[in-house]
Amino acid sequence: MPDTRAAAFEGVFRADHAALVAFCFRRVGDYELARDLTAEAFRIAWQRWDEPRRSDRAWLFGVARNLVGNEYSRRAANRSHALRDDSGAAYLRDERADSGFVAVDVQTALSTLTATHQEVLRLTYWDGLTAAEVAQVLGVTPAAVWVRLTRARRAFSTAWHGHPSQSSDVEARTRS
Amino acid sequence: MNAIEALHHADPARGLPVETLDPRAEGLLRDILAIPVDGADARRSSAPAAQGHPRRKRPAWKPVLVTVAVAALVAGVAMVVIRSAPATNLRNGPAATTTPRTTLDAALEATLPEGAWAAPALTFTDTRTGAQGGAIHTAGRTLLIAAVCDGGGTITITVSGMADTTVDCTYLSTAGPIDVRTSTAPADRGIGVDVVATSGHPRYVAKVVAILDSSPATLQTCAGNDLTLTTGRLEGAAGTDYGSITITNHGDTACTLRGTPTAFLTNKAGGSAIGAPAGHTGPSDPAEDAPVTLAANGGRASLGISIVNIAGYATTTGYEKACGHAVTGNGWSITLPGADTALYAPFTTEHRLLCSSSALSISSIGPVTADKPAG
Repeated sequence: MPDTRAAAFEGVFRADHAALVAFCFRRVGDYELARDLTAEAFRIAWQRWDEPRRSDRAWLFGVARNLVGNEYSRRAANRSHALRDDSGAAYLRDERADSGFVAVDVQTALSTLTATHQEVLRLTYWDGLTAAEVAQVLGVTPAAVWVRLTRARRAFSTAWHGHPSQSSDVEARTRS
Repeated sequence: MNAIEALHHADPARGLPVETLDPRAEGLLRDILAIPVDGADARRSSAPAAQGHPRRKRPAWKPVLVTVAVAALVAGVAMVVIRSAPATNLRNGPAATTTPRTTLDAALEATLPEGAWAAPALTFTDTRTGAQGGAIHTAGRTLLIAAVCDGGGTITITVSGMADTTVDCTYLSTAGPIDVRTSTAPADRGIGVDVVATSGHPRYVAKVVAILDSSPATLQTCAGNDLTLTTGRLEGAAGTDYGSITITNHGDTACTLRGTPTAFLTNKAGGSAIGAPAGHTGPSDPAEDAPVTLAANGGRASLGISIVNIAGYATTTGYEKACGHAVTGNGWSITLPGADTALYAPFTTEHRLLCSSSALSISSIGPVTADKPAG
């Protein structure tokens, strides 16, 4: 029934469009590109709406993640600009200025973790996915997510506290 | 600020709007909704793998005659390819009262063999005529079609190479299951399956189900009493131990296994489950699992397994609570695909401490694969 299909799709689109743009932006660092990838993810979702699990939120994020992966491959082939270079991040610059110190330290701490641990932290704390959704996006069992998250949290916490410039002093300076 | 707060704080997308849709997104939504939903490009490859085979319905209200062609390949692997015939309006005659849709579904479920309901390959209904999709692998599986209808008029199931089955829908009526593979149509030409309302306004549900073959023509499904299971050594990685279980066929004839077993951790042969049953890894649709042949007198196949190693986590807040008290496990209870009884596979070296909470999944098992000696 086309009307029902469109209405259901519209509901998901309205609920998740912004979250998907944010998801892509976190990974490509370019707001316009993030919007383009999101549009493509929703086009694919619309085309495949009648398949099993098509309306799963995790499925949608999985599609977006694959598109981001394609973008990574394309950039790796080009080597013309690095990922996460913030070149398209003017939109967010003001917002991030006040937390700049923290952001840099967090990125430094994150970069010491394995890619797997980084991703499970991003999916959980930035993208706000549940463990079950993370499991679907990564194609592993929820139990595996649980364990990865426990390890990743501990690793991140160690890296964060061990980082020389990170302390409550730094935060106090940024506020004064 | 603790580490997790800092992580939230450093979210690169913190400044992005999270609730409202901007005008450009509204425009995108309109554009997407205007895209006609049909055509081959619907099955492009950016969706995650293991989401089940492509399977779509026509977004049409008018009755459409849909043809299902079953083509058998040289290797004996049958595939179902769906194509649609031109739309034909076959509805006429007076409408009749109908029973609720749930009654139709229940009647159809009762018609099919137990367990088949869970394996629908295609569904036709009066409001959703036909389905489109990619190949449905039927190697090692039986393809059945069954239908139920009511509301007056008739429906006809046509399978090429077989006599038509016409169902009188004056009252709630069921037909089938019909084994599509008994068709005498040439295997290399494919088998056409049509389900269509031939008179009146019947409400109907017809399902094509592909179920694991209990009596394949060439190779038998492996029988449990000819098989033994041997667990391999587990290798730890990131808190999870991975390994494999080898299945050995001691029978005098070759046999096949296909799909993912039902499994749980236990403390002895015939013991009860410790924790939740093992999660399944690999394809979510059994149709994507390849059948594995175990040669006679010693042929082998493998199962990939994993167990979350709780030893390092018992002190982690939250995990301990989720885990319940730790209990000793000594092996796996595994019911192979198509088998009625469980086999016991003790751990090779030592017992393990396992989470007892049935809410927590700490183990997983994959589909039967060709034997790959571990490590």
